[in-house]
Amino acid sequence: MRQAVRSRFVLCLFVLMLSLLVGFALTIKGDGTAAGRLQMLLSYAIGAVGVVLGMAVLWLACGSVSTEIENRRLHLVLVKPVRNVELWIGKWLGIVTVAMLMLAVAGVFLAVAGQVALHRTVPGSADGRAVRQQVLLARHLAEAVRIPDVPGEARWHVDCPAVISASPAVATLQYRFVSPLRDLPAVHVHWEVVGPDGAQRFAVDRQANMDGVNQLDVPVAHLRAGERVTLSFRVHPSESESPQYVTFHPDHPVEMLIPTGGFRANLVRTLLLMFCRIALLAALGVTVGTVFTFPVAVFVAVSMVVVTLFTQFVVFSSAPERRSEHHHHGEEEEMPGWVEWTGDHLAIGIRFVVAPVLRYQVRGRLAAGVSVPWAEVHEAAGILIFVYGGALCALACGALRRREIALPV
Amino acid sequence: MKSWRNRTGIPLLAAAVLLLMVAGMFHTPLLNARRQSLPGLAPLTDAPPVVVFTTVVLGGFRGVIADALWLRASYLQEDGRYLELVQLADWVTKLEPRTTDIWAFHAWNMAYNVSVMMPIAEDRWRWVQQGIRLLRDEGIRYNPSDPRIYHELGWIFQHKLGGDSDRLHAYYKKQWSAYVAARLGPKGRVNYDILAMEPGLRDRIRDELGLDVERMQIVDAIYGPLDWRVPQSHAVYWAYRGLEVAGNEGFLSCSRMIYQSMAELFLWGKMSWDDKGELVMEADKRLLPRVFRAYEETLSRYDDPALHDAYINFLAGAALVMAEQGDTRRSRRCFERLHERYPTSQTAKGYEAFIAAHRDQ
Repeated sequence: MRQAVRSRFVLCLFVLMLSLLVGFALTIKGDGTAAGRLQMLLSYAIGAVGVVLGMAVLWLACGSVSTEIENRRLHLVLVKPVRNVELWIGKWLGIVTVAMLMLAVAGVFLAVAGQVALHRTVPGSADGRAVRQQVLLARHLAEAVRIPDVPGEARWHVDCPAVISASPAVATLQYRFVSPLRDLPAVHVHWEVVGPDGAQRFAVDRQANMDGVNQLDVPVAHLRAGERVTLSFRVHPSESESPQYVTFHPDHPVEMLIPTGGFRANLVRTLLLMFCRIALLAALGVTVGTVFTFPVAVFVAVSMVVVTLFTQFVVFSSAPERRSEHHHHGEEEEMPGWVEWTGDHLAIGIRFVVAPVLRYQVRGRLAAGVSVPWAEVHEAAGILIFVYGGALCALACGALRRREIALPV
Repeated sequence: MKSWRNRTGIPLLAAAVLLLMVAGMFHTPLLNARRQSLPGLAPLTDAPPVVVFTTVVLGGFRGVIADALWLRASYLQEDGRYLELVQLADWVTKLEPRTTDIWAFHAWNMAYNVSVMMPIAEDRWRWVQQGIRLLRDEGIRYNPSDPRIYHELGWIFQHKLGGDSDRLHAYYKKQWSAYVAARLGPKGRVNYDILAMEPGLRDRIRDELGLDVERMQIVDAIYGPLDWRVPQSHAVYWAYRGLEVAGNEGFLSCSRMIYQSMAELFLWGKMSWDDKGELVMEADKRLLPRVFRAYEETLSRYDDPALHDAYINFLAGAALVMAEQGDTRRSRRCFERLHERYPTSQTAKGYEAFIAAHRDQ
């Protein structure tokens, strides 16, 4: 930490991050609406801060031990009664403190940006509503689960979250159809929300677009925390040219976004989730730095990050169960050869290690007003910091013990 | 080792400086040669600093970045996430500001593909406007001498706003009409004498409609009187601008756009709304001589048999439409011109027989 401050690393990082954030705020256009601009700013700022901070932390962490070994400063420490684990934790804590500081700066900037958007838009206007009801809040994303249809009606179950916020007063139902042609006439549809007791809570008739994403506002007064409601949908027969039936998009399930809290708390949770990921990068950097010399350590650490990110495209898309989905019914399954068998098990192994690291995605959620629950933050802290960080710490301590440091030259 | 460095260091440095100076001597002739053979690659002159920075600093890499952004735009569009598209289109076009096809694609994509994905009419209109703005306010700025970009802009006016292929075309016409009327007056006509004395209004027309008043006056004089609330009038204007920059070589697509738009203005270019607020499009009969002129100018300029077919179709159709509307004088005029330029056995039978035969068809 002291070294980072001394080398003006913190100052440079601070200036870089602030320039990025201000640059985005000044140049981003969005889709021409205030809500769109704010969403873009949040999305890009979170993404850029994650990348810049991640790279900087990795660089700093790789150099923290390896350069000290190289310039023999570490020798002065290791001859004292300091355990390897204390040394590792000390280095890691210093780096994550810098990261925490930077995240706090980014957080303040984004909170101010949200406040500015709030003040610049009129609450009753379409733009003002969009800013308040779609961006500056936290909403639980409940994926609707399709249940058997009744004649003429499609139905889903939706589980409401344990807490429902009364402001804004609406939840948003999102759905998409498969459209065989572009710009077909709108379809007349009927939606109902039915409570667990079978009583109709909410019903609405409206026109839905065959293309794009349809959104329907459902008053939250009709939803109760923790209960399971049923959504019911039917197409109104029409004499016009509009379609008489629709097919829901298989890749975009029906979703309900239910307000659960405010923007600022969600921003804090989002930043904490980012912090967990960055803390893991710091742990990786410090550990790799104990094994390799400085520039090599950076290359190794960056390569590991890049390979991990790529596995989501390679390993996850070629996993054995994914392939079995493509097997046609009635075909005899061939016994896999040893190459395929090894590849499958390697993929499963890599995925087992990598999946938890990639699970906690941040980008896009804050901008879309989707909540990051505390449970997820706790889980991420437990897995990324304590489990993976602990494993990396153990590796580093082992490596330090095996390296012959502080021996006479 | 040190002495070797001392011995060789200064001569090497001197050689490097000398080589740089020699390379510098070739710089200006190379730039001039490039300007002459590849006029499209001439350095940007009045571009904002961000564009100059990206085009100069990124060099050849900007193509790779543009591709990556384009891929992201395609992915987002497929996924139904349209929010970033304007931003990505803005960046992609800024990375490759001299490639007209990129401007044309992104404008078309927003005005045509993305707009129809919007469930609300206001949102659709916003996306159509984004397409217009991208070309009109920025694309033309970076490619002022490429007639294709004027044609692409004119096409959005002629087809997307002026045509009826979009389910909400009447809404677009109403919005555009109101937008223009708020700037040019309720009739969409321009009093150029008054305008000459109001520089503020001229600037507003240029900034908000992208129209240059001097050129509007010329276009109005050649093809008018035009009702600027009607989208086809703008198609004529932008096609005219395209022909201006094309010079003596001409540009058939723009010429075609002029006569097609003029024909449409004549046949249904008088726009009004009934008591229920429904759009009513009627023939603007005053424009008939101007339509003849647009067709005949194009015929005299290009040697393309398809243009004659287009003129024949227009004359026959206009004769019939005017006859059905009871305007025998104009109907006869169209027929006489048809017979005069393209006499056939059908026209030889005379006006009444021609109309009767076509009406039956």
